[in-house]
Amino acid sequence: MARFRQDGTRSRGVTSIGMLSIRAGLTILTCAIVMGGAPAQPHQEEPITPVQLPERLDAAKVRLGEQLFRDPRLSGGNVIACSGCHRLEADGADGQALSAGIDGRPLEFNTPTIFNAATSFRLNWRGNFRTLEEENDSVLLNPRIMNTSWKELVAKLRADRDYAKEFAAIYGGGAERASVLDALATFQRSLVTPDARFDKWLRGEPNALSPDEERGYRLFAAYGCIACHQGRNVGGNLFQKFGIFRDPFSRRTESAADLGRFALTGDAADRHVFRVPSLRNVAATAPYFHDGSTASLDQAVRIMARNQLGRELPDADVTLIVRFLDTLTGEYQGRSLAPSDRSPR
Amino acid sequence: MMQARALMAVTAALLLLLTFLAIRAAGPDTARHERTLEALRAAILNEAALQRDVLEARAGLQRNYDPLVGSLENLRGALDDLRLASKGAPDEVRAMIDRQVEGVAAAVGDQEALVEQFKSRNALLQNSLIFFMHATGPVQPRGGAERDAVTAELGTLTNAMLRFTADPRAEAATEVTVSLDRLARLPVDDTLSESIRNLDAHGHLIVATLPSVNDLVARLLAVPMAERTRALESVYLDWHERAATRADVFRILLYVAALALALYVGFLFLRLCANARALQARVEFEHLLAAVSAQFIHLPRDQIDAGVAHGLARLGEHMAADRADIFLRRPDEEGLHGHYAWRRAGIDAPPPSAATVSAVAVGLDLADHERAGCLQVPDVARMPIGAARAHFERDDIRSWLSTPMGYAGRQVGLLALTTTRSPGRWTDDDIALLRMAGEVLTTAIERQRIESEQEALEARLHQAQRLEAVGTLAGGIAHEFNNILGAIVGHGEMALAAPLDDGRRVRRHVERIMRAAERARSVIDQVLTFSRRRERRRRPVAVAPAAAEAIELLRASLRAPDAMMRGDPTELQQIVMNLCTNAAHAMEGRGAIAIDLDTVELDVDRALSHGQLAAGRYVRLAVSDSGPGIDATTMRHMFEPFFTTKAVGRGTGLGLATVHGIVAAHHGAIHVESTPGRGTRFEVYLPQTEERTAQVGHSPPPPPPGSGQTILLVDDESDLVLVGEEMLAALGYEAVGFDDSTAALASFRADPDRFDLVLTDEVMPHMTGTELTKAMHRLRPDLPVVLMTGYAGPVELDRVQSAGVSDVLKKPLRSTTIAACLARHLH
Repeated sequence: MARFRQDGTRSRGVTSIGMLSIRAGLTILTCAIVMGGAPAQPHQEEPITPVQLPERLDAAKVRLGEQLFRDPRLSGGNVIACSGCHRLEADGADGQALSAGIDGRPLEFNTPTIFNAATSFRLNWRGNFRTLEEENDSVLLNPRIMNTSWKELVAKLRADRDYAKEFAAIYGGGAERASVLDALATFQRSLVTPDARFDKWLRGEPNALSPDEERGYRLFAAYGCIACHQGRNVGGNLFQKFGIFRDPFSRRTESAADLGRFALTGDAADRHVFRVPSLRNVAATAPYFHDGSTASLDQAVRIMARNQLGRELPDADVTLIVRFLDTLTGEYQGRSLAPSDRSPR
Repeated sequence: MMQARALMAVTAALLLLLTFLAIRAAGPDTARHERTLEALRAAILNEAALQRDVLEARAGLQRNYDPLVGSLENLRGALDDLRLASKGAPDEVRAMIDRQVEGVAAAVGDQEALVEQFKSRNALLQNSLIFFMHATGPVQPRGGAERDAVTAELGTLTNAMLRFTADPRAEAATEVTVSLDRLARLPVDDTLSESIRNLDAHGHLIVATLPSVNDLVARLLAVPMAERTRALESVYLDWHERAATRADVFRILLYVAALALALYVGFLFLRLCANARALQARVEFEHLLAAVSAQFIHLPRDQIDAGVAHGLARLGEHMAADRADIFLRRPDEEGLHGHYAWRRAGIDAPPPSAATVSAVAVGLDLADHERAGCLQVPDVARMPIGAARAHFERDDIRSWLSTPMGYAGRQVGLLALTTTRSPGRWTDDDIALLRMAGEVLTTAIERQRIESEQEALEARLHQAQRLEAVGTLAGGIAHEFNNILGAIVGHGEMALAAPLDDGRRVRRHVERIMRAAERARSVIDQVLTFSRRRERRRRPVAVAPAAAEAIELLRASLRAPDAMMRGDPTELQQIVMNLCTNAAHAMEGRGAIAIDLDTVELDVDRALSHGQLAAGRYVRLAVSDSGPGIDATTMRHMFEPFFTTKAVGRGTGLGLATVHGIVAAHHGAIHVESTPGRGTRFEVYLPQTEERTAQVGHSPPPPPPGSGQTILLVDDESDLVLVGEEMLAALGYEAVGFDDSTAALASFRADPDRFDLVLTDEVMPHMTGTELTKAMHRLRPDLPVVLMTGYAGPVELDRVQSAGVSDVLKKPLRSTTIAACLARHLH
């Protein structure tokens, strides 16, 4: 067309032929879509949506953030890096019920995986942070976790010639609180695990799930789990009280952590209220619950059904639901987060 | 300097104004405004989306809470942008907008809190509702009497639940609760009891939660988010519009200021152009001056006037004057003696009067107007009342600029520019230019004058040289003739003295010879007089009696009756006679001759038409006639001997030549002024003296005769020796004659005391009369020596007298003269 338009001396007849041929092409394409449409139909009506890699992240910031994330100098006394607990080559956590603090004593909460953290509406078990920057700042300064100060941290980073060069190139100056937090957060936003088999199924690949797995998903929805575990993160977008029909804390002494958001707000309605955790990569991120008290996913499913739904699930249903949960394990940098012994493929 | 400072001040002021306007013209930040509008839109859209999603979620149509989270996140993002909206606004507006934004923020906060509760409870509610709907199916009792009861109760429960969900009022809730309680109390088997327990739990949860969820939704919808957003929007847009309007006003002002600046730049440019043009004109004029100056150097004298006039015209044009004049005027003289004038076309005012020029020249109360040696009166109308202003106004002068013209330290005139219509605007540059032009023109004018004077001087010099040459020639010839005449007269006298044998006839012939000789002597006398070779003895002469004597029949006015000069009264008379004769002849007998005598005193040398006068006191004898005048050729030649305009035989051509000779011999000079058709005036200037003398014209008594004293007579002409011996003998002396001075000296040396007096010619071979005198005086200093000579200028007289000569006799000798002389020295 452009060729004809540029050459205005061509006759009208030739142009019409060009138009006709394009229309013909469009018709053929439409036919092809209609014919191949049925098997490729995406599951758009489901409450769960696929997770996607964020677009437009500054690659240089991501690189610098990863460097920082893996750098023990971010802790007081260069003891531990962020990646010490959030192990990127594993599940984004350390597999422990409670990680040890810098003083060697266990921390209050189970370390949640760093993967897909950025996609949650609040951070941490109690959802006490809105942004990764706030969360990182808190963790870095927490005397039991990273135990550093900005003065110390910035001084260490500035003393490093490579860091100085990187920060100057990206932020036009030396390392400082804002740029360090920005680099870390940008990197953490890149820690998303797309291409879980369930996501593929959602996008319309019918063979991405086995019939059992699909049946497990239907049970997951029918029992009502999906009432909270929905959205792109399969959870992570609302608060909910732990213990609707039964009290999970009845047989033990409540710790401060067990109080949930009540410890933060002091509102009685917030007692035992936690942020609903994401179920992405749940098969790979044992142990479970805020205190890491449950190592088995089957067990966790049963506990959730009993306390939250008021139901005792049959074993077969538990198995099927766990099979479904297994399909929520995604990939980071092309590598599946699933432990190899569990991988169904 | 002043201009540059003013220019800088104006530029700085304009820059300040432009900067101020540019700052005020900056409207609200466009990008921020766009963002604010976008945020307002986002707030409204997301709020609407939030409400829709909440309602959908409540209805169970939306089971994913991500959109709710997303809407809240977007609202928070919009809030962040709205918090920046008031930036740049005045404080009170800013506070107002910020208050509105905080209202919106509070609404968002409320909504968020409600949404969080809604999500948590709605999740439970939806879950229980789903369970309830699904459970009433599976919980179907299998057989028995219980079955009917359970089935019936389930039906009741379902209906109650339906009513409750449709309209969750307390009665409906009670109905559900009562039904649930009844169902729970029915006896059932284990499997059924599990289902019924779950049903009971979820049923109670629905009854407990649904009203609160509905309440949450109602509260959420009641949050005045949209209203507050719209209020904010209205406040914000109102301010923005006002700011934009004000910015527009300033933009227009900025445009006006920029336009003014552009115009000013244009004005400066035009002025620059005008300056450049003026500069160019000035450069051209300076070139012209240089060219004129160079041209004047080579310009023939007769074209200088035209060159000066041209230069004056260019100067006047260039300086935008109405009139340009050069007044030539010398400080020691009255009036003007030259004037060049230029007038702009269309100006008909006469040039400034001589009185005004004089007033300016003497600086009549104009001291305040002097600028760089020039005199500038920018506006006559603003002058103080006074003589100078009166002069200017009388001549229609509005402004005046003049420079004195000086040459070689003398003031020679004034170059003046005047305007008559409007005051002239002349700058310092113009004044400098005027001075330059004045110098160039002065140089040209003075060169013309000097060259004229030089030419006249050269002409006079030529004339004088010619007269001198003619005089020398004539003098030489006359001398010879005089000697010859001496012999003729001597022999004639002797012939008459001696008794003649053949009586009367011969005697008559001799007498005629003697008469002819007398006439010849008179001619020779005149020639000698002209050639100034006549011996003179000068004495103080009273001019008036002498002149009067000569002009007794002529009407004369003698205004200097006591004027004295040194000279010969006869010659004085001769001057008067000759001039009057000349005048009479010129008038051909009809007309008036006026003779004036006065004295003049000259402070400086003065050039006359025929000669140059040194400063001093002079007797001026003027003879004026009313004749036809003298033409230029005659004027040049009239004092040459034998030059005559009269018919042959009527004049000798010696009259004026004689006058010239006499005047020159008296160190005087002649000035002739003649106007063709009106007459001629001869002025004779003779040096005046204070000495007094005897009257003119009294002849001395006849000398006594000799008593045999011995006279030594020496003359190289033997004829004259013979005549002399006889003449002396006739006068009673004994003469011893020699025709050779050497022989005469030898005879004297032989007996110095033999001679009582020596009578010797001056011009002789071997030894002149004076040399002889000196030689004799060495032997006898007291011996009187009388020198005879044909020439004898005053200088020569002095010389011979210093040589010891007692007296000088003029040849040809006449016995009476000799007798008187001898008597003087011997008695």
